[in-house]
Amino acid sequence: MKGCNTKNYCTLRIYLVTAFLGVCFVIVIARLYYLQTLKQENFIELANYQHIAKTKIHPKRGEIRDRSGKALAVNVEVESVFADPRYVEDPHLCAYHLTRILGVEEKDTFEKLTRKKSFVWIKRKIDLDVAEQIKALNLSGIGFRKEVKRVYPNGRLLSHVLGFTGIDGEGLEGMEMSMDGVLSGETGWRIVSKDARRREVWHCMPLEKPAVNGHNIELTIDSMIQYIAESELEAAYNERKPIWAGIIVMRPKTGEILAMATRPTYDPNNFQYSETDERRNRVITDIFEPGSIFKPLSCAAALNEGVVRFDDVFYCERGAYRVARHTLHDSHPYEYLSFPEIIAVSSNIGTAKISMNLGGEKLYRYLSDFGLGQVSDIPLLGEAKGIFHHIDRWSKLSIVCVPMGQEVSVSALQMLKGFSALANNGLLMKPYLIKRIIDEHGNVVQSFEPEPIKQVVTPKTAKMINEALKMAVRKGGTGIHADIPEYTVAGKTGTAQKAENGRYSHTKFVGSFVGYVPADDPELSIIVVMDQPKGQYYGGVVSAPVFREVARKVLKYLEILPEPERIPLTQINNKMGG
Amino acid sequence: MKKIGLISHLNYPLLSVTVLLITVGLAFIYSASYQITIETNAQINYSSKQVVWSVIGIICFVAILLYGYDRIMKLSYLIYIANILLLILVFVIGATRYGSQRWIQVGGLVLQPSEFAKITIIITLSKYLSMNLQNYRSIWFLLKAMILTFFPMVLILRQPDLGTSLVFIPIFFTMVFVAGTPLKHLLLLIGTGITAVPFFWFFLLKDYQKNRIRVFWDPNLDPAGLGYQAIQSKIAVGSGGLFGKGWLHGTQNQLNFLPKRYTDFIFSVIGEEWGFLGVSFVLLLYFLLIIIGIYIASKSKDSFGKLLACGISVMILAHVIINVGMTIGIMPITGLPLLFLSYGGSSMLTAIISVALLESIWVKRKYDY
Repeated sequence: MKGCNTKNYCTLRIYLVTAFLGVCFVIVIARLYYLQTLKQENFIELANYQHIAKTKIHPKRGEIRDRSGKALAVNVEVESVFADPRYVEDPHLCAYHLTRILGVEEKDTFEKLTRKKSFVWIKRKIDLDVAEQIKALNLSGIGFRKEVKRVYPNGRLLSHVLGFTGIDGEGLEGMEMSMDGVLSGETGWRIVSKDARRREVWHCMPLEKPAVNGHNIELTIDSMIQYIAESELEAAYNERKPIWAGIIVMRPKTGEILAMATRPTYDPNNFQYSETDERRNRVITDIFEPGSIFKPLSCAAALNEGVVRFDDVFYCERGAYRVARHTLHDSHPYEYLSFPEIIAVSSNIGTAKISMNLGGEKLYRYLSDFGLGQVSDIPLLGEAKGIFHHIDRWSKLSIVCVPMGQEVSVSALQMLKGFSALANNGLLMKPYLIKRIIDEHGNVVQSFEPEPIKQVVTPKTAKMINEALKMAVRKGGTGIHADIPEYTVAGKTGTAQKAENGRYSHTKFVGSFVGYVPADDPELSIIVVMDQPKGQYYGGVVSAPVFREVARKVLKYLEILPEPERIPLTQINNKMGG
Repeated sequence: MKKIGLISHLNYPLLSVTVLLITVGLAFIYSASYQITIETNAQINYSSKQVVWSVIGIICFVAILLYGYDRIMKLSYLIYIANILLLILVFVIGATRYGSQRWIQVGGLVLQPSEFAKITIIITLSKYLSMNLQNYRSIWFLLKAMILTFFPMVLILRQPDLGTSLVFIPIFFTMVFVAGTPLKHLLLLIGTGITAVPFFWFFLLKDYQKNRIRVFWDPNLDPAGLGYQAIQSKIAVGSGGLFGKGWLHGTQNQLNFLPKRYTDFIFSVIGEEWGFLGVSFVLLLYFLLIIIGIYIASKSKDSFGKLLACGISVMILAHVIINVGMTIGIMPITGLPLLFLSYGGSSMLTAIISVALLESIWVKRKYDY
């Protein structure tokens, strides 16, 4: 360092500084090369991870409509209120206002507003005008999000068939659940850029898969008929106070279900306030021993096999008949009854004798053909198969019990389905609930047609049973309360003892009525079931009047012309004993 | 006549490099504050504010050039005391931002005296060292220079502004080194310095400064807090690749992931939007600027000019290395702007005054006025 003097000093040291400068730049450039070239992929991935997000596009849920296109389940735009507790200035005041307007719990709300979070729901799916009230207060930290709410404009009408959806629009019960795949559509997605504050900024890439909106479902249900059926059922339910009551209205010629109702019921708009029992669609999920309404099926089998004839007369043992170490009783003691009279007065002994002529094997085959022990495959979940033991498991007594509707259990739908075959010239139809599925633009995606299952009995047999069933609702028959002045009704009452601790109860009954009208050209077949009504329990007393009122009003609504004359069958009365 | 002579003797490569750097700076301040400008309906427009500062800088440039560096030398101790007073004044009336007290507001202008302190200490050291060159073998030659540096540095460290005070260290060492201090003295000083590190760590550094150094070693210690800046900056630079994402098209920049992007982290924006080629170009400009500075030092007619030019060159070098180093994860995060590029009036003035002093040394070499 001796070269350092004022004249030409420290040139060497300046060179050293320059060299140091060079080294620094080389290090920086090398590092940049490493980051930007060798590690570029990693950092691009990290960058994308930060700012690229996939957001869901929610499809519009399909509507459920009745057969004429009236809306039964629709979507309504609503607002949901949320809070970002970090920006809530005065949680006490804020909680007070929210409680006042939304009716939420003040303590809970205050707790939500003071959480250490950036997002918390206050209340979801509130009406737009309520949201406006809150918006007007301009509370800091309170935000709104547009959501879609499922609304059932008719309230409780058809609630058991429609079901309902959960808070996120997923089907939870009924048609909403069983047809969720069709109704919900397909969720789409979109690639978006989000900034550091997680706000969506701009679409840097045109990557998007649009949502496919759900299809609309048109039911076979007619809301007017449904309304009639429900109001009549409701009145009877309130009067008779059974555990439950149910009604199904079907078109026997096609199998279309026009109405289906159960009591107790609930409002799908506020399903959270209802009990599970109230939400059960009992006409398809609950089974019961049908009792006498079952007899026409057994008798039709015997008639169809030719083992009995329409004008055969049976001795009815004066009301007590010993068979297989048991004694059968009739409600009234009869001596001689013809085939149709046995059905009309609902003689157990007569039915037993007819069936014994037929034999277990054939009876079993016919009843299977009528659909016993099988589900009808309607698009609702929880349909019961019922109880119909295989012939191998039948006891000696079965040949007299089964034909009169004991030792078997059916759902109301199953019973109506089999019975409607008698109304439809012996041809069993598959019941169905969905008329067609249409997409959002109105194009038909799938259309459902009447579907015959089997010709169970010949039209001739059906015709003869029809005559017998007509007699059952005339003067002297058990179903007189189902009679309508303007139309001929064919039907059968049932008053089944409920099994209790392995034996038949003498106080608990299922009172039912099944029938069709007009008898010679049936437009409707209807089943009415009341489980354990209080007071009167005969099917002919509790259920037949419901049938009558519904049938009369619906036929009027459908503008079916009344029949000009009714044939009086007075001779039957003379033959009846007691 | 005097002015024409002055103009013809200017160092034009230096001038061109400076203009290019300032232009790049304006372009990227525009890009970095693009979203802010849009969001505020152009109420806040940092690039046009920076143009105003550049114009003020040009006025300073002309003034210093006309006045001459040799006359400034005569005022150096006065400048030194004035600057010390300003630094003390910061504690009294200074504005606090981001937890530090660094700024003095004069009317609409916000000044950062610590920025000017760097130039001041270079001038003062140059004056002191050049006046006492004959004593270069004495240990007092070194110690007195150290004491001169110590006062402003400690005041700045107390603001606290670790980045700016760090710049004093290379300036001081380079200047005493070039002035001819014996190597054994320098080694002794460095040895003492290293033994004093624990003292600094336990008594002088504030907790947040210590944390910064800890996080520098491992940014993932606090990825959402202190490490956030380091990680985001690396992501921005790294994802830029060879060619960059294009001006105004850097996702990390435009989407607000990059912090302090028009001031301390402007280099990350360039890295993201112009890529490796872009930053290499910018670094080349800086390299040329510093090389020209050192060349001017070697050609200066007097030892004051030599030391002054050396000090200025090292100051620019220190800024580049510390700032760029922090954006690419080889230096701890300290609040230090990148001269010529970062938004900020005081740092812009410091940069332009530095170039003006270099030009003055260059011109006076052949053409005195």
